[in-house]
Amino acid sequence: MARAFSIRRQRGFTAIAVACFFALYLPIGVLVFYSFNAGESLASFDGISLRWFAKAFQNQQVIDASIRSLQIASVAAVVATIAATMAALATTRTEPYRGLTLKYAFINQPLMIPEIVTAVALLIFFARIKIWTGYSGLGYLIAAHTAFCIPFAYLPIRARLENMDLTLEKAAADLYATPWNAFRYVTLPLLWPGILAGFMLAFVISLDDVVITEFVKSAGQDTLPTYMLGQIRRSITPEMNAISTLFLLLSIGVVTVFFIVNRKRV
Amino acid sequence: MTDAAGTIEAEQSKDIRKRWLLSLPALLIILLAATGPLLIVLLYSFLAPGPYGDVQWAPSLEGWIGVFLEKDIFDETLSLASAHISIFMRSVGLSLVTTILTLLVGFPTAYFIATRPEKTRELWLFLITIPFWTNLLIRTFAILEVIRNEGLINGLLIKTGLIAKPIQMLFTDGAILTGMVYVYLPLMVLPLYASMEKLDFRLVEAGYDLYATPFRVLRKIIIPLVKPGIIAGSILVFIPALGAYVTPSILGGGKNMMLGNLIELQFGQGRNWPLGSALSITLMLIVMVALLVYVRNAGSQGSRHG
Amino acid sequence: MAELNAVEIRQVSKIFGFGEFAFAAVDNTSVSIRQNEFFTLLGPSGCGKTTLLRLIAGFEYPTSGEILLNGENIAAMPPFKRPINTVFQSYALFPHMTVAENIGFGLTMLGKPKQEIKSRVDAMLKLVRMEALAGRRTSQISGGQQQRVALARALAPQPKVLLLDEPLSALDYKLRKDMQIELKRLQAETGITFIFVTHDQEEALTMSDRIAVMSSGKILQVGNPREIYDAPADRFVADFIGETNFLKGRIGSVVNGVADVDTSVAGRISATVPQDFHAEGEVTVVLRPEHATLCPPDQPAACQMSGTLENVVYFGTDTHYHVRLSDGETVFTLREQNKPLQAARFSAGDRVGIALEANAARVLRN
Ligand SMILES: Nc1ncnc2c1ncn2[C@@H]1O[C@H](COP(=O)(O)OP(=O)(O)OP(=O)(O)O)[C@@H](O)[C@H]1O
Ligand SMILES: [Mg+2]
Repeated sequence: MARAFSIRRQRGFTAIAVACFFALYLPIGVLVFYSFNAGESLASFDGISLRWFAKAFQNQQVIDASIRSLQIASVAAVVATIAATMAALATTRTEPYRGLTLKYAFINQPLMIPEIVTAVALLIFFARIKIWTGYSGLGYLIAAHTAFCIPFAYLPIRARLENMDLTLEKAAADLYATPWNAFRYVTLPLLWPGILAGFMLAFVISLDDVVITEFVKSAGQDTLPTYMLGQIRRSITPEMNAISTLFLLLSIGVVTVFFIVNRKRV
Repeated sequence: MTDAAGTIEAEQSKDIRKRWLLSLPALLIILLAATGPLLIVLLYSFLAPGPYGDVQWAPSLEGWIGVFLEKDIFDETLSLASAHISIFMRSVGLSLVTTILTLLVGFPTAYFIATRPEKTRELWLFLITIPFWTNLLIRTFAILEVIRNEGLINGLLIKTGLIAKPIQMLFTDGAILTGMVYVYLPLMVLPLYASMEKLDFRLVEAGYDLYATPFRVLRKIIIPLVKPGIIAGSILVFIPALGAYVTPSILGGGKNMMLGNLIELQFGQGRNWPLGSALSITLMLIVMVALLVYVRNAGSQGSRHG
Repeated sequence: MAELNAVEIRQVSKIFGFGEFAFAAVDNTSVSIRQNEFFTLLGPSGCGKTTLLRLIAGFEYPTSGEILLNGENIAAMPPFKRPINTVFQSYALFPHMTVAENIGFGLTMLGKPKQEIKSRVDAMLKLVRMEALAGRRTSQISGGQQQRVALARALAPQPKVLLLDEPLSALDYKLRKDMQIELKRLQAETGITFIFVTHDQEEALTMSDRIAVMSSGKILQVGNPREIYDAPADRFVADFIGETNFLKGRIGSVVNGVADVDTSVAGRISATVPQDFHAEGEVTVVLRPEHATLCPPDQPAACQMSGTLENVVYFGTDTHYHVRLSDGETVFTLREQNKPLQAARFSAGDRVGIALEANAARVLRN
């Protein structure tokens, strides 16, 4: 029997898509699977065990790096989200004004330049400042992360603002709300999902960063990704898989929250 | 009588001033920790290298000369830096192929997601978003697990007796390409999906109504309509691919370098900051030229369709 | 002392754009709106109705001119200080608040005590018959219900003037009819001045105390519905409100406000002349379709005009006839009420005569 004609169907597309999803998840699946390996090496699977997870939890370097990663990501994401929210308010829902295009270019600039170039630039710049000030704390990493998180946080906030009905604030003004009250009681509550999405995006982007961190960090400032990069280059044990699995879990958790927040459209 | 016109103008300039104030924190942070330092890179590329890294405060073109030419260690003659040239070529080539491959795989995938019924679409989208949010390093590591000599593929092949010795897949251009397609694919699918989601399927119906075959509908209606997504996706893949550092350094090893690794080398063992700076600026220029060419081409094609 | 006008617009202009792109959305317009009246702005799309309303609400500032509220110039006052509320065309209900919170918003912003807000919201809910849905989100109620909430929200702070921008245009025909009656009732009950915008002439005629007809940023005529319909000030108003036939002719003697006009197609007809209007030579005469009837062409005494019936359109309550007059150019429209079980007396292609009712024709001010 002939298949009913569907206007949406394109020959072969479904096969490619399914293959694509399969290929995306197979390596991740292998990686997770081997994190439960009881054996020493990745060459063979010698039964299920949690020993590598236990090992990772006892590894002081891993713990320190994880804490550092979370510290940097939290501070950078909060600051970036606040700055991005303000910038989004300043660049949307207006007649074009002088300097608006410049602002767009500036805010999106970190996206338009290969990360390695920014990394090199920050290495040079911060090296100078370190010499001048003598300070070599986490501040540099936090500043760098904040800067490249801003465009990511800006994206969903701006999108949400642009889809927001302008007349709502007009209506608030009509009902005796001062500009601040209109912002406080109408704009902000409606913008909230966008801000939350922006924050989570910024948080994950900061947490995942390798290149800029690798160049900017001072000695003993490994984050979890740079620690992992160092390990992968040396010798690989299933402990890496265990750490990766945990990291993966964290990412999936954040995506899930992101999805739920974005779905609940008011 | 009130000076109403004056009131409007005052209101407007007050509004614009408020808008500048609001955007100030973001602009300052980016200026200090992203854009500003780029200018310093430009400056450094025109200085002489210091003996243990860093620079000497003396103007010099050595960095820029080093990008394309190399000095013979013995007789100091200059010749074309063939190693650099081949790295340039490899970087641009691999990035282009990566962009094309991700587009070829990503387009049907995004289309597939966009044509799912409302309910299951969320799930597919969720599945494509997870890799997007997953650490790039972990995903590269996952590929490493699959293709290295003691990895999944070789392990299976040896176990089944098909081969005796592992096939060397790691540390080849093929490995880099596989890794880059794998890690950048979600960056292609998401913008493609975003524009396909808005696709009005009544236009597709109209196409079929006017005797177009499925392929011609794809070619003449769907692709022109989702062009913004194709452009966005290609840019989003091409830029990071060209500057890729993590993936080639893990999967390509020390020999199969890309530009990112070459730059890193100058700030590490190479201790030639001016050369590293000049290479960085060159990379940035290549990206800008590529962007311009791409956007212009896409633009003119778009207007022909429009 | 005469009572102050609720709103007075004095030579107000609103110009958008600059230089060669400058465009007057409201063009040096003056109008007075009385206390407690139902005042309607009527005009075609793009004529500046919304702009005029936004000027009164304070979302736009006039380029020149004054806007007086109870005698006080408010042209430069921000909207949140004006005791004027708006029912928006799209309702603009806050999606993150309940029906009751929406209605109470204005009072909250005014800093009224909680108790007062609650009782006022309850009263408003009752007024618009929405008590049962007070706790619902505004996204979970129907279009007609949203409309009521928008109305209640704007009425709750007891504004001096209520502005309504095509509040009924998103509703279906039946609901619109109900809401028209409801709006009239609310206006009578609250005694608030309503300024209502519509481009639906029937709505304007049935609801308003007075109507202002606008075109291209100017107000062409202000008057009660009868004046606007029966005595249109110019060709635009005559054409925009209801259907109209225009006949050209030469004016002859005028006796007691009735002129003898010599038209080429209909011969001599008598037409009312507007007061203090002195015309000579060429004039235009207007005739409403319902003020003419068809008659058999062989009774020249009863029929002023004759022609060929081009088509017959059945409308349920009445039937429209389009007659090509004997000059071969003018098409005259007339309308006859349908009677029970009676077929149309004429059919397309017939030669027919047209009889005009007494005082039907009117000379138009040029
Ligand atoms: N912010 C603006 N900038 C430029 N032109 C505008 C602006 N707002 C309105 N206009 C123009 O002013 C004219 C009047 O617009 P307005 O919205 O007042 O019309 P309207 O009578 O309400 O029409 P409608 O019945 O379609 O709602 C239109 O030609 C419109 O294009
Ligand atoms: Mg309007």
